[in-house]
Amino acid sequence: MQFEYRYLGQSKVTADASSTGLSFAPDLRREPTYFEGTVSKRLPFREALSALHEVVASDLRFKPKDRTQYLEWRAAQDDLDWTEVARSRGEIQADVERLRGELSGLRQRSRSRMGPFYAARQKYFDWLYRKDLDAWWVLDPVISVQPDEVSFECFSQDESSYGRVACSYEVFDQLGERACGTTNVDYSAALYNEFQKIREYKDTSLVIDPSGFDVKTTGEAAHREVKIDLPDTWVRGFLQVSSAMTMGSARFDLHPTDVANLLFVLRRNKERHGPRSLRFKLEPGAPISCELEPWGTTVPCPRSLYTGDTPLEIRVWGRRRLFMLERLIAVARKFTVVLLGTGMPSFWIADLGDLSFTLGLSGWTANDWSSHANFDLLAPRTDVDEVTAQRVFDAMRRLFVATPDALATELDLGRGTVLSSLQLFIQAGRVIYDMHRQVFRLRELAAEPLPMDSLRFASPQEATAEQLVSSGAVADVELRELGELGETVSGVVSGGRKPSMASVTINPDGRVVGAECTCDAFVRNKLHKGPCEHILALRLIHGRRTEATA
Amino acid sequence: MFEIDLCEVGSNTYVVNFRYGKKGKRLTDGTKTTSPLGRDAAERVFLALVAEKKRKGYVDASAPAGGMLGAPTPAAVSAPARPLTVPGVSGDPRTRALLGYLTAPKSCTAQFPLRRVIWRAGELRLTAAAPALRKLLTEGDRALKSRRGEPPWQYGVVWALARCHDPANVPVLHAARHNTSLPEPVRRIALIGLLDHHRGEHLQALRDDLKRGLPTALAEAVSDVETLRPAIAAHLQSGPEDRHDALLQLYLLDTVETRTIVHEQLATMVFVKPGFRAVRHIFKAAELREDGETYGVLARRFEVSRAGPGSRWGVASQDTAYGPGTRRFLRRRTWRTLRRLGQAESDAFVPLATGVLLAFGDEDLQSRSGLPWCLGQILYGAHPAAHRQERPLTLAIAPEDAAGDVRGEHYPQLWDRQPVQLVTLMLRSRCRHVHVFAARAFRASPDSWPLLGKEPLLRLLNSSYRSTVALAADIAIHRHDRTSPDLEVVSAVARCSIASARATAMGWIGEDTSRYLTHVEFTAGLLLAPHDDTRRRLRDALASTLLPTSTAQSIVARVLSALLRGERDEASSKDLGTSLAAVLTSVFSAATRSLSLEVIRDLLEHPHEGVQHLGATLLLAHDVRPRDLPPDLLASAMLSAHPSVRAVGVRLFGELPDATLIEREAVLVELCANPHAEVRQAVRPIVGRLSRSHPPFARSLLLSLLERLIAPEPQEGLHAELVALIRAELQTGLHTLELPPIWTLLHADSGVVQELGGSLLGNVDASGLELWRIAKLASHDVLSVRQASWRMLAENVARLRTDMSSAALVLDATWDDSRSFAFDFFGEQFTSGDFTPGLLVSICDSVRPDVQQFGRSMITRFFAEEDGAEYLSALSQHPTAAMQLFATNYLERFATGSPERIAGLHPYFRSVLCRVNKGRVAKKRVLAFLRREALADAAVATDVAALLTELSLSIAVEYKAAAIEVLNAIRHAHRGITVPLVVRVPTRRSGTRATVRGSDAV
Repeated sequence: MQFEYRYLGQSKVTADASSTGLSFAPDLRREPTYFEGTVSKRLPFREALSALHEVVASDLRFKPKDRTQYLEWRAAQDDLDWTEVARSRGEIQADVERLRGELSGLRQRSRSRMGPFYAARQKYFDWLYRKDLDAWWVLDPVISVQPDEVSFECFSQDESSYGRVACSYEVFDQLGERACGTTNVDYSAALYNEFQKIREYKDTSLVIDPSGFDVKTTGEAAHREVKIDLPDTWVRGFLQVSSAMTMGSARFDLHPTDVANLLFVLRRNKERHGPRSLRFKLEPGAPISCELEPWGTTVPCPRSLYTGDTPLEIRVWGRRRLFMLERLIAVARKFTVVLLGTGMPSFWIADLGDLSFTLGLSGWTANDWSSHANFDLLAPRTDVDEVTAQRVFDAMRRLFVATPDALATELDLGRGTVLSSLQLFIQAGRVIYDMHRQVFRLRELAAEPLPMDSLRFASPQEATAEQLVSSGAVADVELRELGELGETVSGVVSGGRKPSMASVTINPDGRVVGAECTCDAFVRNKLHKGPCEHILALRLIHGRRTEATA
Repeated sequence: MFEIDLCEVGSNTYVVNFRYGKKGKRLTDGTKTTSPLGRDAAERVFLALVAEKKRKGYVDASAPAGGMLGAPTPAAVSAPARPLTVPGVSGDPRTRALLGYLTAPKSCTAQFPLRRVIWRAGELRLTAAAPALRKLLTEGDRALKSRRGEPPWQYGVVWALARCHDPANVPVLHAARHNTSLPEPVRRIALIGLLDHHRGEHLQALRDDLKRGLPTALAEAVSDVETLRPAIAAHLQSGPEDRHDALLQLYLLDTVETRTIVHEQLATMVFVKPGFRAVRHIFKAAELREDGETYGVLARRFEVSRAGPGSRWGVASQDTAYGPGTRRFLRRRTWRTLRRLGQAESDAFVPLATGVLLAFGDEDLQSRSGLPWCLGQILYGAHPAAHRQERPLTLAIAPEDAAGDVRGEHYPQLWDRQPVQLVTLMLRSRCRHVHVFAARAFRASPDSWPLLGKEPLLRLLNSSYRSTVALAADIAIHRHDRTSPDLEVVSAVARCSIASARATAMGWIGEDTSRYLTHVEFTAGLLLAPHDDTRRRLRDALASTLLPTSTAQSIVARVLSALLRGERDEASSKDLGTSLAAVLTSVFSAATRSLSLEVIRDLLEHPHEGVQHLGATLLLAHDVRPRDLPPDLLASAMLSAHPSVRAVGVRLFGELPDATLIEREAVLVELCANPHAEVRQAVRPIVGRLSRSHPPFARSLLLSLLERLIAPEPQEGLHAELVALIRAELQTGLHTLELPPIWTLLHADSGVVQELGGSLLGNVDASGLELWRIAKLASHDVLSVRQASWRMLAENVARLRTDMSSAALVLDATWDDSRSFAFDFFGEQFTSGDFTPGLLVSICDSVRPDVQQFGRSMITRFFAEEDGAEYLSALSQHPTAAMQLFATNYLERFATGSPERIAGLHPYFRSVLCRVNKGRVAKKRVLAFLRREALADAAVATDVAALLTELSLSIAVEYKAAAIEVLNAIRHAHRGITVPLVVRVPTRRSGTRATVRGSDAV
């Protein structure tokens, strides 16, 4: 999906011994949005923005080790081994020794001669990397100026983490002119470095520069057009996490030291095999405890009580992403955790007083088809007619921020209808649910509406699978426990020219580790071109069943 | 590397810090002293650490490097010489035996039956066998009775009769031709035999008879190729079923016109039914008549034309006339026929082989693993290095073997008997292999060299095949007679493609220049020779010869008119034009200086670049100078489509008076930035001359060129070349440049332009430049700019002292070399008075660890007691662990006993204590400090108790225990402060005492 921005100049930070000025260049293609203010709570502001940077730059996707050098060495070693074999056979021993000495001499010479070249080349690559660091990031953060707060939002490169910093106006001393709205801002690595220089004893001002909106006609040359081709999966991930925000089923507070304890265990240990989950044990009225698998370490949270009604046990994955919260521990009063269910997205809201930081994590770090959480998040919940939905949206455009009750009273609609309409807009990236304040806010992710039809499903197979499940085309579903290996679901999926017998094996981490089907697509391609619709349908059924039993 | 510091942090308090990591990489900090020690104790820790590291193998970095090993000596390799083998010679045909068999057929054996005897007699053209053959045809023989599937026996007999020339054969063949009871093939062979036997009017009558048998349209067109070609095409397109038989009839008519047409058809027609039958008939006729040309055309077709679909599971396709099997048979048969002739020492072998060889061209030998079978057998069949390859059937030989001196052909004695055929091959063949073979064979028999006439020799010298030219040149050198040389031959040798031969010929000329060079035709011819060395030697010879003016003029006129006639192609005329320009302007300068401007105009208007270039060069050396030239001539040189001509035009332009040139500055700028390198090169000396003689103009030109440098580069490398031009020719103007244009250059897009700006910065007086700008230059990507920035900084120390905060920007430069310069510079040039605490703190605020490290060392060095509190408060807000650790050094001295400061440091304490599994030393120091202060002051204790109550939740036992211990101490020291500790008295066991345990419950 192509995103286009136009900035006037670049965002810049002016820092000297007594002051720091953050001036963001907003996207001029969108409605004028600007803001001016002087930050009073500077250290929490610095830490929150640094945490946001961690999200922007985070990429925890699995990167296979580069083994080429080892394999080269191995090949050379094999040669040596073979010469060893030959050597033991007799006369050529002296020859081999001499040649080997010669060879090592030559290698040494080659190394000493080529050394400066390799060093210089590496230096050049490093320089290139530093110089063009911004090219490694995906999307510039989104800034929203709201009637009661300014917020920064971003989504990580690995499509798994969402971060939002909300600064209420109490954070600022002097407020200048402002225009509410949402815009993208130009962001770079140099900016992050300058954030680090914010101090309590330095005046710090935050400006979303309004000047660009005035000089549209004259300074065309100074404008910088930025085009970013975002993968559809990235946008889907963003929308899924936003959509999940309204669905919290378990909500509890953690003491900052509890989070520090979780991170402490994770930093001290390295998981070499699965399951790699955090297992939250929630008993009504009892302290929360959290088990870290596979070590079985339990972190008790004696001062954090669970206030829900029903006991729950929820497992979440991708826990190393929690290190993004590390800098906030010292400045946070508490962390509010919202869990949707096992394998579903989770949210960690740091309360910094007038500031809040929301970290949204998808079910797994790898946001692919093998976990079930991704399927349903963009599914429409209830039907609302277009006129009503538009009325709700118009009200949001006017108010910018509202609770569903207030909207229901104003528009004279049922609370359910309002919620369903808002849900539609959240899925389309136009409205966001603020988990910290528990209100809905207007926030248009892109200047133009997103193409929802192409975004809902990652592939045509997923759409077909959804259709197969809803039309009841899956029969004879059987579940077989495999003990430590997880469980296998099998069934017969009709709907094609002939029924297909499919089976899916899901490991204790809840991820698909094997699948089979008798359909043509699977026989030809196995899983090389992605799973067939029959396998996906079974995966969907299994996910919904476990959700229901949980 | 491992760095160890012994730092004084207060009065007689010291810490031992260390850093380690890879050289040039970010170092990891650590400390050996969680709390500051006295000097002696700290020194002991320091020395112990140094000793420990030395034990582990750390040494001074200045150890000498190891020596290099000597280069291995290459082993000499010698290959054994390949033995020479001579192919064997086949034995004679046993004529008498054959005749015996023919006269007494019963004596034939099963191994050599009568049919083969007859065929063999035909092959050997045994005229003596004719009577016996005639008798066999008329009377027949029991031994000849045809069995099923065999061709009729008369076929072989008539074939043999046709080949054995004997006037008495005519009536027999005539009768056979008209005997309708005989099969058609037999009568066809009889007709061919008759055609071979007849001479004069009988032959003409027979041909008229044949012509009458042709379709009318063809019969009318036989005497003209141009009408016959469409006629036969139309006939073959839409005639009756047997329409292709007309091809055989045309072939048998055997006139020049019909042969041409038939060969064209054979070379191009598609081998399918029904036409292929005619091809087979013509092939057999050509074989019978030993018609090498036609035989060769077909032999080549069989080699290069792919077969149609072959048999499948043994069933041949009904429509395939020329399947793989047929093709293989025909390819092998072409060589077999030749081989049998060769074995029989027949004189017919060489003409027939010549026909085959002439049919092949170089294009037939491309992209093949080996040579076509028949061609390969003829050329290299007996070569020891050649070998047969199956699938596809080819003869393979390595190129170096093929080009060697070994004669690899079969039957070399037959070739030696007919050297004329070898000459024919060299004159007509289009195939490199054939030329190599023929030249080698001809060279091997010097006795036949005199047979080569002058005309063929000249043609061979002009050949495009090197081996042939080499042979011809050797023959010409061999025949050369110094007393009466043949000018034509000498000229041809001097223009041939063999360099050594050319040198020899030019040597002859040099020895006797007056004899050769006064000859106008001869000299003009050599001037137009295709090779440059000939012209160079000619120029030397001409330089020492005094030619009459009229002769020189005639030579120049002849050369120029030959050029203007334009018989050459673009590429060759380009080289020739350039090289001729040099010769004519040096040797014939008198003749060319006064050349008519009209001739030069013609040359300049010629489409070829070389000719135009010659015209422009002649204009350059002409008596009439540019200022007097007609303006259109100068314009046509400068506006030529060819860059090299334009370059000469630019030189002409440069000869205009300086005043004129200065007026045309815009033209000069355009020429300097011209997209063609030749033009840019040509304008350089003009720019150089003008800049030396008119410095103000040089400056104005330089400014115009700088504008080009700032604009986007229209073509890759142009900026680099412009910069080179400016550096070389406008050096004087460069030194007068002021700062603003240099500053623009520094911020141009192109690296070379930035580089130029950097080198110019060396001359700039830095006093006009703000300090922050100088500091910013230290982060420039171009080294020379950074170096200039360093120089300016070093020269402006006094100014820097007044504005240290701008100067400190250098410390945070993006480049390592700038930073290391700045570290040394600041360390050496400035003293404690120059650094304010605010400045030092802002240095430490950098995000670069090395700058932070430098800042810390500077704070330690210039530490003043009165600034301690400021350092503590500022550094405690730093987000990095290393700076937080550093700040702990000042805790004790500047926060002790000050509840307000401690309260201000509360976020710092939280930040240090909340680090996850990091900063152990800082945590310990902070905890120790907090404990001491909490015990001393109740107000502090309240805050500390709140903080540690949170920390006591930690599952890190070390800090949990420490927190509980402090809380317990507070509980004892300040009774009024409540701490969440519950004392449990454990059940008493023997030997144990009551202990205090912490509980986290609120």
